[in-house]
Amino acid sequence: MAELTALTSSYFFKAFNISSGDVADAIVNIRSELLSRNNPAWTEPSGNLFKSPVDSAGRFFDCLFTRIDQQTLEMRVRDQLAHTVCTRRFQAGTAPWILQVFSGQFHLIVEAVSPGGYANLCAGVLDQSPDAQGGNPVYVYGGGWLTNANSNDGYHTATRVYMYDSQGSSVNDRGTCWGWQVGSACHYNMNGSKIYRPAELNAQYGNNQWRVAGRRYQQLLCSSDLWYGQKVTIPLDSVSGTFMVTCTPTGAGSRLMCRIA
Amino acid sequence: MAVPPFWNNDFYYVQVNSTADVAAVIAAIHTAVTAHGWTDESGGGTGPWRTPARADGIFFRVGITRISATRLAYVMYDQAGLLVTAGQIDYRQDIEAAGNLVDIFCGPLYLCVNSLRATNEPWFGCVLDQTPEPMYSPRAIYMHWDGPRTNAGTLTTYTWATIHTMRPCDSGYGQRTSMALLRSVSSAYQRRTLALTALFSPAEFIDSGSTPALFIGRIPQCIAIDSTGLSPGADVTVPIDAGVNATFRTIGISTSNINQLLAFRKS
Repeated sequence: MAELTALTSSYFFKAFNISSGDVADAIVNIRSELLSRNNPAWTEPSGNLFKSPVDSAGRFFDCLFTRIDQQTLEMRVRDQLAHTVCTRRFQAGTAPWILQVFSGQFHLIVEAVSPGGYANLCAGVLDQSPDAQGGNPVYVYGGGWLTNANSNDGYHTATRVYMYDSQGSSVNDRGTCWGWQVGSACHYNMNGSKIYRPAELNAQYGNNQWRVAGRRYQQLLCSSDLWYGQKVTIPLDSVSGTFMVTCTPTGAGSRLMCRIA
Repeated sequence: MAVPPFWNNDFYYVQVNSTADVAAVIAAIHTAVTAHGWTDESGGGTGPWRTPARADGIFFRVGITRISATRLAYVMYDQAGLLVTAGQIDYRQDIEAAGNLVDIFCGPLYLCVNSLRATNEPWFGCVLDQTPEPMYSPRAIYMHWDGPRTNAGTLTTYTWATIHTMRPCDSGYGQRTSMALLRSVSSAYQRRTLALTALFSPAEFIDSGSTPALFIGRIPQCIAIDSTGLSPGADVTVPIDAGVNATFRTIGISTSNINQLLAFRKS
């Protein structure tokens, strides 16, 4: 067999020191990462609105970043039909903090790491194989730590994200649970070896009726006992990949990792 | 890569013509398994039958007894002679008085016998595949499904997540529930894409009673597939490697809260 399609797209990772403690500098660095370092490159159709590269099936998403105040960054995610998938925020500390940007043709995760804690925002397109990519229009997801009123509503975990599906834009526990029941996961075998799972998301085709929408590109689920920032190298096929545990809160017994090498 | 090991070992499928006496089923099982490396320890076609030994010496035995013209009894012993079917002592399986077809699926370390009544009555047992872990470590996991009938002749109606096995933390064999790895998102989900492509996976099991939950292996030559629109006995052909297709036949077993069917390799 071959490497999972969701692990064959472009990926980039870079950490930036936000010495000013101002999210305005975060936007500057996100721009340089997406427009200058990504290949294929993103575009910026208007100020602080970043559009992912359009693939051969016409798939893309866009993210509008807004500086709310010095420590608050907002990201609006839209799908290819200009539906707003979500508008979410994070708040970094006012002291210097580290910006981590995981990006690629089909994914973007922006993290703020400070002595006081962690926060992030995420968005992307799903790998829809074995169906033809773009064969179904529901493939963009998004999420983030806080509401657009700075409230931590808990609607952000490794398996809980927003999508615009048959029920409109909604947040749900969309991640496939790799265990006996919803909310559980199995990430170890009997010898203690770790098992990593595809970050698969589901969407509604009717009210609370679910089918598989696809897999998040360059992301995997891991055991919740791996800590934020931990790096692991795992065999993907005839190649290996190195993934870093993102600071996305644990969902359904799993944490989210994103590829860095 | 190559075909995964749990779909790459010897397999055999045969359907027994409609019969009104389970003696014909025993005879067909004998013919099937002994043609594929199993040993009839009686030497007279009455069993018990011992699987070929794996490279690390692992094997199991199955004893099958004719209780009446329409009823079979199954027992399964692990390599150490322990009764895997502990609890019920044996499990029963019926055919119609007027007779019905019976499907037999077997390979080096698995056996499934499915009585094709209106409500299917499958019995299956195996040693789970644990690759890529070493075969011998920490130990082989023997299992059989907790059905189709108790030794009192009552249909168990369990889902395929209820099996008899000895988990890593157990000191003996017994009924274990919630053992299937389900890949679920909700009680109202389908393991198919938004474009309606049915997804399949190895028939995997976990020890959900341990913390953390531990993966304990897969049934050889078996898949779990979304049950939407599939009837027991349906043949599904799926790619098991690039350019390699395999056909599996679904077996009727309760799918309550699971929405997936098990299917054994046919060709």
